[in-house]
Amino acid sequence: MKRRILMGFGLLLLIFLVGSVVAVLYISRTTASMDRLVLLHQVEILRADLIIHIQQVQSQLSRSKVRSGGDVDVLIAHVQEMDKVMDACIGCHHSPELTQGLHSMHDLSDDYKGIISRLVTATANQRHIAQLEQRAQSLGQELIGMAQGMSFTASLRLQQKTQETMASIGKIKGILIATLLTAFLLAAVIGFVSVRGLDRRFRRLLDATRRIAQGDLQHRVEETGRTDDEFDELASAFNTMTQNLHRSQRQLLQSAKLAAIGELATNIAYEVNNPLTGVLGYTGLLLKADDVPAEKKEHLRIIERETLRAREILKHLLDFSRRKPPHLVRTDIAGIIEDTIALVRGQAKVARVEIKTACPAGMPVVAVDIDEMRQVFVNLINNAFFAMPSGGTLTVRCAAEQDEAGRSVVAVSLADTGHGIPEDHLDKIFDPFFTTRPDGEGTGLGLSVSFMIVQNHGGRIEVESAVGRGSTFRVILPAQGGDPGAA
Amino acid sequence: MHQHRAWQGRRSITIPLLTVLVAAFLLAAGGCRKQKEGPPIRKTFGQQELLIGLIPEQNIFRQRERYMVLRKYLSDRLGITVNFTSLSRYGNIIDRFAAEKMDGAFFGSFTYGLARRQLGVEPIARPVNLDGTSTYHGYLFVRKDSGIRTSRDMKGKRFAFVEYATTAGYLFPLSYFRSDGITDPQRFLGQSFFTGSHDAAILAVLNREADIGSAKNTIYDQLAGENPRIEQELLILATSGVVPQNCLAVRKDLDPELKAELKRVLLDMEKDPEGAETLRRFGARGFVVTTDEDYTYLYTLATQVGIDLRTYRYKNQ
Repeated sequence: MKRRILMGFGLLLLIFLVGSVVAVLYISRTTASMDRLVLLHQVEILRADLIIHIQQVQSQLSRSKVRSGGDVDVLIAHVQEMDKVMDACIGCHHSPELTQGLHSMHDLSDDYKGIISRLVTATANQRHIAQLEQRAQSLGQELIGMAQGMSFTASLRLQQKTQETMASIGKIKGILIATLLTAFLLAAVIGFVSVRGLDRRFRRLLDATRRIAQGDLQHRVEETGRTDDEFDELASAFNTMTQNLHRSQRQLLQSAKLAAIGELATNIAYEVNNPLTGVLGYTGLLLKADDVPAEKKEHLRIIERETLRAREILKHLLDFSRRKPPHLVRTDIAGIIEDTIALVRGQAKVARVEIKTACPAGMPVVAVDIDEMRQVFVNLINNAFFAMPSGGTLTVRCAAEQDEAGRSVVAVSLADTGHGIPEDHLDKIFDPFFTTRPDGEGTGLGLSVSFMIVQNHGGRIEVESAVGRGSTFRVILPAQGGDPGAA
Repeated sequence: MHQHRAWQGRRSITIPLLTVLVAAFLLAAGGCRKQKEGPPIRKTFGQQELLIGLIPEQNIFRQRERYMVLRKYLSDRLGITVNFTSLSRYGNIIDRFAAEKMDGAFFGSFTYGLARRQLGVEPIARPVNLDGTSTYHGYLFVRKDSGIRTSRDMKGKRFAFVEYATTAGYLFPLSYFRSDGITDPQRFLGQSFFTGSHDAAILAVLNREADIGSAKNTIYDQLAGENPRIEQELLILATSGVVPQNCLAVRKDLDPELKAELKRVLLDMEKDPEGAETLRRFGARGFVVTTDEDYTYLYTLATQVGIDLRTYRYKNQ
């Protein structure tokens, strides 16, 4: 998204840049031709000036007074003015043809000046003087004609140049308008697309937030899987957050449930224990009595056995509810795993379960109550054996990991190849008294006790299962810095 | 080494001191220079303006440009405004000189003779051409193929004079005829006319409009440089004596102090750098003293042909 917005703005900038550069180029060209126009106008003025000066010289010549001497100075002044203007004309930059024209005009003016000089300096021979005068007049006329001709050519060029310049100005106008329009349209499109895209994404997030607020913690924002989309990253982070929230909530719920059940169980255990003591006492008395027939005594034995079983269950219940604080020791988890597996190895043989271990030494140290932790693993291994009635493989793996918050943890996973846990049981397996075993084979407290133990260690138990393929339990414990043994 | 160190030790004082000294010297020098360049000492003459006439030369526009250069220099040096005005050759120059209250003029030799005799003008100085000449003489020439070689051959031929008021174009040919005993050239020649200018007289002969002509050597040489036909087709039969060319002469009642200053400035021009530059642009080497004695040949000619310069009044034809 960010990239698309940046690209859009880049494109906009590019259009402005190209438009501006082209406009600036045209403007500089037009300015140059405007300068040229101004110059041409100045030249036009010069030319008009030149014609006026030549005409002044001509009129001066036609006065008879010139030769009588009084007006020679005036004549010279006029010719000097004429020369100055002509030099200014030649001094300007012109096209080669114009320069040639100016040079031939200059030559003509030299001839004109020569004849004027001779006319002024001639003192005798009226016929000769008249000829000179006539020649001077005709040269002057020729000069005027030439200047006018050039003036005509120049005015044509001026007109042409003006039209060119106007066309160029029109082009600049067009380019500027096109640039502005294109840029405006593009900006509108970019703005629309960006806003729509952002809106859609925000709405999705907002919707998800609302649903989560309403308690639907299993709702997930759809991810497109594109790595370059910041919104996808956001959605992914959002989903992780929701997932964690969901898990925390579940664990919280589990803890609350366990606490409530524990309290209830304690009360019941106390209440039931007393009558059971009575039952056991009297049953014992009856068993010792001689007047009770042997077949009745058999019944009494059954009563005693079942009552003892009930007391055993009550003891478990009390154990579960009255948890003593764990005695934490810094240790290597691999040692505990090894000890536990040694304990159950015989049982595994009977159950035809192969145990594979991958717990390398040198894992981060954990602070645990070794007995309790061993109990946890025994429970989990027993459950695995139960899940594989016709044998299978149990793989125990230890790994150093990082949790979502970036803390370092040690994860012990126990993966069986058993029948798996149906999805509708997954939420209940940590509940006390939940068991899928036949009556009398389990109390349904193993997993809930394990859950409590691990939770008391600041860790958690996760489970993944697929029916028919097996289950994986992961015991995750916070890692401690330093060496094992230091309490 | 020790000395060097000592110098180094005192450098912090020495350098500013040197700078001040150099600056002072430069200022002083600049001041001196300025004084030298400017008008020497402003003298208050009886007048604030000096009006000098110019007899038009072949190219009046080039002539005006040249004299504008001189005008600035003279105005600066004299401390008064110097102006030039062109005198037409047509009509009576002497009358116009008086009428327009001119203080001086660059006269031609004949016009000087008239102005000297009729107004008493005093010659001051004349420019020396770049080739070192400051005088000119007259040529009498014919076409080579005309067969004319002596005055005798000229009988009944056409003569192109320049005008009445020229030494080379009129006085000299008249004297040439007179020295050969021909006292009335008008009758001796078949036809004669005035061309009005020296180059026109030369071209008239070259183009067979006349058989004989006379003109200034300066114009003749200039035309010969431009047109090789002159060398090839014309033959110079006689050469006159020399007369000063283009001399500045002033009215006799001009403030003597101003006159002396004008003369000094002109004569010293080549010694002054700015004057030398002015001379270069003016197209002359310098100015030489000119006195009335330099015109002896002119007076001799006039006497020979019977022209009294004091009363000579002419009308061009």
